[in-house]
Amino acid sequence: MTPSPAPGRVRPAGAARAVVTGAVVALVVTGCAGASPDDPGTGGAAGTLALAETGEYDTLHPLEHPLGITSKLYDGLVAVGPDGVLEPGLATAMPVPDADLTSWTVTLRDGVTFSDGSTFDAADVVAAYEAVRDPAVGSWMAADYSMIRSVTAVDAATVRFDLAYPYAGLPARLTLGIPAQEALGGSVLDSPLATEPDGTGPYVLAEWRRGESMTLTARDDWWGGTPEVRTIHLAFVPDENTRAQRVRAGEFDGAQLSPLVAAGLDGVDGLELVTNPSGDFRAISLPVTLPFFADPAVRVALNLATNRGAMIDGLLAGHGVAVSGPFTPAQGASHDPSAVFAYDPGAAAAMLDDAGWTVGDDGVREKDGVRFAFTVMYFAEDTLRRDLAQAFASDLSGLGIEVALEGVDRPYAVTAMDRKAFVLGGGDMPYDPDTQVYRQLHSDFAVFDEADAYSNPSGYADPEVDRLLDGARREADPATRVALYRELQGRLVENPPMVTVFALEHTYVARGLTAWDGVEHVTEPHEHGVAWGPWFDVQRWTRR
Amino acid sequence: MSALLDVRTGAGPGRRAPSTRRAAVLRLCARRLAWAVPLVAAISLAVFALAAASPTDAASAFLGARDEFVGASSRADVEGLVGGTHWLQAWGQWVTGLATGDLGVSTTGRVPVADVVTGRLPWTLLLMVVGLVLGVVVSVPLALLAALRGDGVVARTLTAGLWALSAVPAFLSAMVLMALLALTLGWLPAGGLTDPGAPVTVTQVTRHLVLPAVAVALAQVPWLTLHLHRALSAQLRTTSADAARLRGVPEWRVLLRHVLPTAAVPTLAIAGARLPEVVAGSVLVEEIFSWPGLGRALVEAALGQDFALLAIAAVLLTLVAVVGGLLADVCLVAIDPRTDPDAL
Repeated sequence: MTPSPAPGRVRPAGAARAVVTGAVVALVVTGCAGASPDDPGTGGAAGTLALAETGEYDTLHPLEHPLGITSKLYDGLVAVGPDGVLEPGLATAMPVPDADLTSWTVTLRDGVTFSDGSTFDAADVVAAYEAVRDPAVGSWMAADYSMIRSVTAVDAATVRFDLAYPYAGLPARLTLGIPAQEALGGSVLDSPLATEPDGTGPYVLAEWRRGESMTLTARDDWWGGTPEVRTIHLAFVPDENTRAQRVRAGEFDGAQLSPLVAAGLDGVDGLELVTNPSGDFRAISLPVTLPFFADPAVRVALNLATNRGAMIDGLLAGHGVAVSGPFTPAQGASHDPSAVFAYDPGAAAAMLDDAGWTVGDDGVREKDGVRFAFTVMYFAEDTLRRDLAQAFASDLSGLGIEVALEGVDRPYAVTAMDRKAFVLGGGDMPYDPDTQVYRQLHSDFAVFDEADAYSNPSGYADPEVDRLLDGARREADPATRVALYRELQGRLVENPPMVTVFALEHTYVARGLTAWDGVEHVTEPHEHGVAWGPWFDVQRWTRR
Repeated sequence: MSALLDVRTGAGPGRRAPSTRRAAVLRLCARRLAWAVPLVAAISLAVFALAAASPTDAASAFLGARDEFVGASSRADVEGLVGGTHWLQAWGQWVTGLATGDLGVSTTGRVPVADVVTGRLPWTLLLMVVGLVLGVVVSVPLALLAALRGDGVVARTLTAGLWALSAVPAFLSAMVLMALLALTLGWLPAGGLTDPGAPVTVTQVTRHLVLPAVAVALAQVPWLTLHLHRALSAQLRTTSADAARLRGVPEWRVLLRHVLPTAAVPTLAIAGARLPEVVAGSVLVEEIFSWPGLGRALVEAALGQDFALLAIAAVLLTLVAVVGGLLADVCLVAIDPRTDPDAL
């Protein structure tokens, strides 16, 4: 969950709000000695968890909210397992492709029932994948399934996906939660599934107090076994300081917190810090419509001038990994950790000089009368992106580049993406390299389109990159595919599309985990919250 | 709005028999409520027009944080679902639906608007009413104290303190209250309707209501007290008050019997007019204490061009203002016999 969009076009953070926040931070930091934890460590062992969520869910429809909280209520054919490894969910084994990757067959588990008591079979799978692709349903993920030409129920326990083109990344897309077809209803706007889940998952929704909290209770007849954590209470506490203090006071067994706050609570009042790696990266686009960014050497220079280590230490309390492109350690072997940019502002300055961008009288570089000055936009309500933009601007100012910062809202951001740099977030589906990087890098998305402004926001096009992306997408042999992605990362260091800064580690505090076996780590997508963290697999926990 | 609440405390057309006066009050009620119909229509129309003209984008608000990951074709689908209707046409559909009892679907909550309102409005009303009552209970003695002490140190300190407090927005006092009483001292819960997972019982809700209600009350105390104090000070030196004193009536009795009722008149009128402001202030208080009222839903609705929910909220607020003003005027008629209901 990330904060909702700001109401207007806002310039960098309101001073009043900063003062208020500062005052409250001071109050809670200096004055929390009085809070005494209520029996830390027993909350979870009783079979009941109380967790503080970062905000309310707008919907529980699996075609609108994939993974996360809906994975407690629904299962997909494929599941995200420990360490982010894909494993069979409602399928008996991982989907099997034909030789050219255009037809995938999935065998379904037997004896699985929905929470309404009806039996799960191939018709439910077909209905779900028809619905997610149906424009009238209005799932925001429809475009992600455009490679599917048809979904067929071969028999009650077998489904075949026929694709329009060879696509190796399909298993990651088959993590979609499958609802009972009778409950699908119409569009995501008026489907009953938004508030009344009907899935095969380990938990059911017992109560949803809108605006306040939600309670999930375990099913006794879940196909994966009977969860020992029987009840999960989720309270919606958007304010981070409140969340931190309430979890510290023992009201909750855990919460998602920003790295600095979470690290400060590690070891305090029975809380421990839990971190998970993620495919959630932050990057700064370099629109090639601006004269300086048309030159790859300039884009390399900006990458060399960015002090990623200092940003990770300063903004994330060390809880992040420096990356050179949209590939992150979450992509496993496909990520090449040696493809990195050193921090070398001296070399960056030399490259800029060589490229003809020399320091002018006013201390700003210029070439042929064009000053090296541009604007970096960030979502005004997102403090991490704001801080990142500031750090980036400060690194570049030392190099004679003038960066103006502009806090924007979403409707404005998309209109200016072709002429202003932007602090981009990525990694909504990190479980396959293709779903992680294709739209960020391929020239198909280079032409500016307000309706798709966040895909390839620099307007970057490189035929070699296209060739490697398409080759890897159609490659059946895993080892060859990994080699193609590694080659691609080498190319991205020579011709970077943007300044990718880091992949975040998501940070949580939890208490009472030692009472349980089976607490695992998972690779997280952009989304975070208490449906992730140490609790992502809570249905499989067993008492120690 | 101010014309509706114009208070005419000057010489009225004389005293009437109680029955005709009761009829006049009924006429006043009927007139005001009849007025509310075109008012509501006009305001709802304005809400649709303003929401459509605002720089927010329905599809991107509907998508929320997912906005960044949506392909072009999916975005078009979502726009087809939540946007695309001209505001005038949307208003027409809304009004037609309203006539058949259908309040429409909230796009931000993905539920019928009726569910949002019935589920959340009671909690907002509870918070507002308790907060207001608490505010009055604190303000009246404070104003009396200040008035009794006249120009003393107590009165001056009190009024100065209240002016300062009136500059503190409700959300700030809410945050300070929470930091002190809930998080530092642990006396009261920091948020929610109940403890995590606890059933909704009177005890639970009462404990959780204290802090938000105090925060709402704190926002009302300054202006209530200051207005009342001013009116009390003016009424203290009237001939009727002096006459009572000459008859040997003790000062506290003069205050309660002769001064307070007359002084309450202008304060009541202002209170009626300020009701919608109380609602607006409680929205932020609700947000801070995770109180499940209409507050958060309204903020989301405004950001997401959720026409149906916004319109019904505007209608409810208008009704609160109309009914608040009416109640204030009826009280006025009851307290002050010089008031002519037909002139209100």
